[in-house]
Amino acid sequence: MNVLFKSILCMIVLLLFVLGLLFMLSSFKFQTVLTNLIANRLSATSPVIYESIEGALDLGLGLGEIQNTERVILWVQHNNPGIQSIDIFNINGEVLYSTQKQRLGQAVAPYILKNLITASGHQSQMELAANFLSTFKLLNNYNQRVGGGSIIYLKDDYNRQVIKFNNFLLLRTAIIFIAFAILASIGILAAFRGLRKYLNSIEDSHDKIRDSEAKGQNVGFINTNGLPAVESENALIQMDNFDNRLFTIERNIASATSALDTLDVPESDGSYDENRTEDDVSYGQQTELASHMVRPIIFIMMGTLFLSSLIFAYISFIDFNRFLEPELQKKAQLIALNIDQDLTKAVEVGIPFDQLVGVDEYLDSIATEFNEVTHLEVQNPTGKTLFQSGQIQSPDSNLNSSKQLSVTDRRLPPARDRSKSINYRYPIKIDGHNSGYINVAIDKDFIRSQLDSIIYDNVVILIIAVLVAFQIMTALFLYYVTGPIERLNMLINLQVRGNFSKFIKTRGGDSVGKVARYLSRSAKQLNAHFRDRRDQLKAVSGEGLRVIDQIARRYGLAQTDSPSALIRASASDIRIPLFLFAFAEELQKSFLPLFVRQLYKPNPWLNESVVISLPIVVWLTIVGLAAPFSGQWSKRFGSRNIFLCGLIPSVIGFLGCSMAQTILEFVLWRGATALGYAMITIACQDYLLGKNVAGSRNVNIAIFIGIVITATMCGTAIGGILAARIGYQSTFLIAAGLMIFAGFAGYQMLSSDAGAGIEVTEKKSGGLRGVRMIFGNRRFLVFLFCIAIPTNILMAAYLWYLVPLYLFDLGATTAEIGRTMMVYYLLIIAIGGAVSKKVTTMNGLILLVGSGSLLSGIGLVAFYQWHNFWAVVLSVTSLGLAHAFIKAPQITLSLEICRMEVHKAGHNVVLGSLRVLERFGSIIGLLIGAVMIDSYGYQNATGSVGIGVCAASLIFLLFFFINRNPNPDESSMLP
Amino acid sequence: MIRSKLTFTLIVFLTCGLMPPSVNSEQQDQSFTIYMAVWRGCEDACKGFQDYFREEGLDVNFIVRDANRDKTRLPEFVREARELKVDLVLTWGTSVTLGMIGTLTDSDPVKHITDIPVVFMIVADPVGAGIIESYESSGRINVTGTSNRVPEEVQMKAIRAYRYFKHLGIIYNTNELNSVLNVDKIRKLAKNMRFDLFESSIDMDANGKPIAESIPQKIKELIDRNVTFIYVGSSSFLMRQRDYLTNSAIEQGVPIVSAYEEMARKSNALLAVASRYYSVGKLAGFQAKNILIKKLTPIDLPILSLSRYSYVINMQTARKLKLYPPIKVLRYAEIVHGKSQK
Repeated sequence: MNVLFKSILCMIVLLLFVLGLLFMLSSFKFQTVLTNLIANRLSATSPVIYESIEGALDLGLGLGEIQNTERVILWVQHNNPGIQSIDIFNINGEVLYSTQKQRLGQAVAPYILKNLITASGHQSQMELAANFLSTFKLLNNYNQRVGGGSIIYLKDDYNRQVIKFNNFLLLRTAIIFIAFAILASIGILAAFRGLRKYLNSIEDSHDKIRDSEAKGQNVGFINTNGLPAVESENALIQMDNFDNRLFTIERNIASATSALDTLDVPESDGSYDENRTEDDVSYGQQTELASHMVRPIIFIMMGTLFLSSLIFAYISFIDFNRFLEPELQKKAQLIALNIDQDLTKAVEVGIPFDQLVGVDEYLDSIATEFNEVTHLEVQNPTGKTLFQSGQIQSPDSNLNSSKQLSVTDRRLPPARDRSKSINYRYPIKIDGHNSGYINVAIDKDFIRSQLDSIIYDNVVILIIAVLVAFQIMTALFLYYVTGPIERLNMLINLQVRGNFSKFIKTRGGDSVGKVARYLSRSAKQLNAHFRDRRDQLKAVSGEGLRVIDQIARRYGLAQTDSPSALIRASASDIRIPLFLFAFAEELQKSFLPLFVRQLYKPNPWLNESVVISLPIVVWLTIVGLAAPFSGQWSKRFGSRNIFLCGLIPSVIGFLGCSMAQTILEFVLWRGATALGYAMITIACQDYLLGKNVAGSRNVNIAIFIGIVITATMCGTAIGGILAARIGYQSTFLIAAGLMIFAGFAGYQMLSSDAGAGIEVTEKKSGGLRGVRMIFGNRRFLVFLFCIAIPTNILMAAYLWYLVPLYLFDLGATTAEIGRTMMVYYLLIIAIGGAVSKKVTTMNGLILLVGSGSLLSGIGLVAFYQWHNFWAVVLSVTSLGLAHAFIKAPQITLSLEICRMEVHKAGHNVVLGSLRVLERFGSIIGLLIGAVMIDSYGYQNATGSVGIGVCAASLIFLLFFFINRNPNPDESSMLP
Repeated sequence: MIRSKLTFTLIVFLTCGLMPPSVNSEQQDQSFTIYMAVWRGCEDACKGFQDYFREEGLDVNFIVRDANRDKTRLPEFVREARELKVDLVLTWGTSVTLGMIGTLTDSDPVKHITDIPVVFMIVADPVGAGIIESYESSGRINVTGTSNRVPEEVQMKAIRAYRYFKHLGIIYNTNELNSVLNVDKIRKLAKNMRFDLFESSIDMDANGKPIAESIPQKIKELIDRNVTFIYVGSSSFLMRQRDYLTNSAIEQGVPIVSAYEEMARKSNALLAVASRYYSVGKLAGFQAKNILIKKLTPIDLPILSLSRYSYVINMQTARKLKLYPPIKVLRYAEIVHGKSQK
């Protein structure tokens, strides 16, 4: 079956995409970590050389006169396989010493000199195409550069390692992919059983219909031979006959679809909406059925993606460790060698080995310098510990060490747990014989700690991939599976009742399509047939015409454009286009204020914070202003068209944003995107509210909100990761590109006839009048200023504006900022739905909303004094939690408070006015917040806002407690 | 005042035979003449100064005049420098510098050099001696120089790097102002760096001159106070008596640490933290080059000091006292009388 293959294919593509993405991230990270380890090792090698040379310079030797140099660099090269060459050159770049004799006297490459001169410290590391370059300065003792050195480390080994790792990982990824693809396919096949049964039953009914056709019981034929009187009688008889046949057909279909009873049909949830037409009667049942069949498939897909990613993560981690371990070993060896050198020098200078001084302290300082070292030990030839790092000593105890340190002086064992280390042991050879061992213990978890950031990124990508997969799969299923089934059912219902005015356009090859086409064909034939007869009759008899017109009305035949196509738009049509669009739009959330701050140039009129908040302010304003207009436009021109048109300002806006050089330009382009956003979101909303859309309005709006929030969450997190890796401007470009995709999806999936027939209010300026109206409601005002506006302020001023700026100042990357903001949306998605269903009474709602708002304020106040990253995360988390509790109930509560106004002007006006006022309030709040940040700083601004919100919620609770409605019946909410 | 360009071109014409082409990136138009006035012969600093120009490939004619510890010769040097119309004057030590350029306040164009650039070196305390205003700028249009003093705090830290100490003894000469000032400074440091300073000054004879024979007794007094080291900061007298001082200390089993490099290198102090004179000389050469080649005005050049000091350890003393240096310092220390150097 088509649908089956389509879903398996889709699953495979998604799996490939996710695993491919994870593979690329892992490979990239491996290279980065390996490069860092090598650069780190080289940076530990350079000091050996330059300290030796500089020491000789201090003695008064000129750079060209230090005879030891050649020995030193050859020794370093010998002990660091992979070093291609080491050059020491003077201030003019002339090579004085080199591991490659032929380079003596030659000039060192200009880029090496440049790298040296521009380095801020004593040395620097650089990765080039073919090798790693480490350069260091040679400074005399009054800090003048007298020359420099360069170490070139071949990338051959590095490249080999990288290729090996990639191959290994690729192999494992392929195995995971194939395994899970097969498992998923089997699962989908199994899950399709139910659907297949259903489709088979349709096939059966199709066959039955064909049979009845063969037996001459079809409906495609109306016999109207004869003259008027006779004809009318005939016609009546024909009509009865006709009805009989219809009844037969109905029975056939009924018996065919009675196979449905054997399937698990869930109870519909009984919610009823006045928007439903008769046609919808069985809709509820059918979509329940469809989504019931589809749900296991979707879970299989999500589960597959999730599990495969987990296994991938585990495997890649093991591979990481395995492939990076040799590098760690090289580092350990280097450290041991350096210690060996120092010990040897001490002995050469005349200090007996067993009387070495300050070795513990020395080992301590090395262990501190290299993060991966947990422990260092010097042992005597029998393995007994002579000196070790990790001793906690007070300076006074050092007094004792001025006396001879005998071998029997024991110290306490080191603090770090030794079982977590890999130990490397190297012999010390002094004067040719074995004087002992150096033991270097490296932290096992060191590699893991290098990977931390990528693990978080992977987790974020995983969550988002799963959510995106869910959206896509749901949308595809509803579009390709339940959509056609719905339409077929509608058509069947119509025809069973004798309405032949509609047909279905379909190309599906499965039984659903076949039956649909058959029925459509029947309808068309019947209509054509009827028209012919009517024409014939018209010429002959007027009375017959009247009768036949009566037949026509009864059976829906020969309307002006009969049969017309059955339109069945559904909420799922907008899923993919809206999701893609909102996702692209929200990529900027985690870093917009940061980007704007970069563009900021001092301005005499407005202070910095206010200027930075301008893009958000402008965005809110334009969306608020454009929304009512977009509503008008989509009613006039159709939602689909407005959707597509809205892409133009959005795409152009984001392109402009990526190229903006000043704040003014940026604000301009951002305004364009705001216009696009308003147009598209309102178009989608109206699409869902239209007459021709399946489903109850509440469910559809919930779907809409769900899509937007999920897309916001995903976009915010992914935007943060993208910005961290490719930069702000490129992320804007990607947003523009994704929106074009959204355009394609919208073009394909949106039905052009939806969005019409929505209640058009007579009052054009219903907005303003509505606002004035609800302003009169005192309780509403309290609600507005104490709950609704603070909630929006917390979102716009705190979450969108303060959090990115503050976190950035604390040192977080945009990826981390994105993850933090994501938590907020994740909580709303996860918890919001569950909570809003539970609370039903007015008092309950007031309590919920009030305490939720209080909680959000407390969340800010509790942590504002800690000046660190986790304090902000905790605040955002509590904010998310609180808002999850109150966002949906706020709407219900506001409608209830404004019951009278709803009665007068309808839902839309009230909600529209609420939104306008909220937006207005949040704009003011944002500006005030910006000023506060400038004057008091992030922490205090957070604290003040938190306190303000707490105060407002307490006022709200108090007010409603005092004025609470004594009659419990009136406060019940659900119809 | 700096000479005018006209005079320079005159010198070019007067100097026959062009100088050898410079391999340096900085162009030298002509050869220079530098007048070097030293106090006790051309020692390390003087050699360092000359070597600097040699290494830079600059052609310089050095006129070296040794005062041989005799102040009365200095006016003669002033006259000669003027007559020869030298390009730059280098002065060695406080006495020579004071004698040839005077102090900030009493500088006299007749007696002192005020119109030829002067670079001073090996002046212990140029600010204290009134020669310059501050280390940022001398405050005198034709004067700059180098500082060879290791800040006292650096010295204390350096000693602590050898061994952490709580008790430090200091032996000094009340007859010398610099010695007394030095003790003051160390006393102040003692509080911040949390150690106890025990002071012992050399006995004076009837004429107010220090008695060398009192040294062992003074050492003993300090040992009785349980000091880890005995420090010698600034005293020419003790410097002259270095062998007697250090040997006496070794006999009594206590190490001497000094701000004089020679005490550790040539005598028997355990440790010395000092500016190497040779390097200071080179640094003075660097200053001079900036004036001569880059044509910078001396008043704009801050008084430079070294960024790395010498850390000299006398291993023989260390062995005798069984007070070995810790591994850490061996990386940058200069070892004298190490095993392989025997």
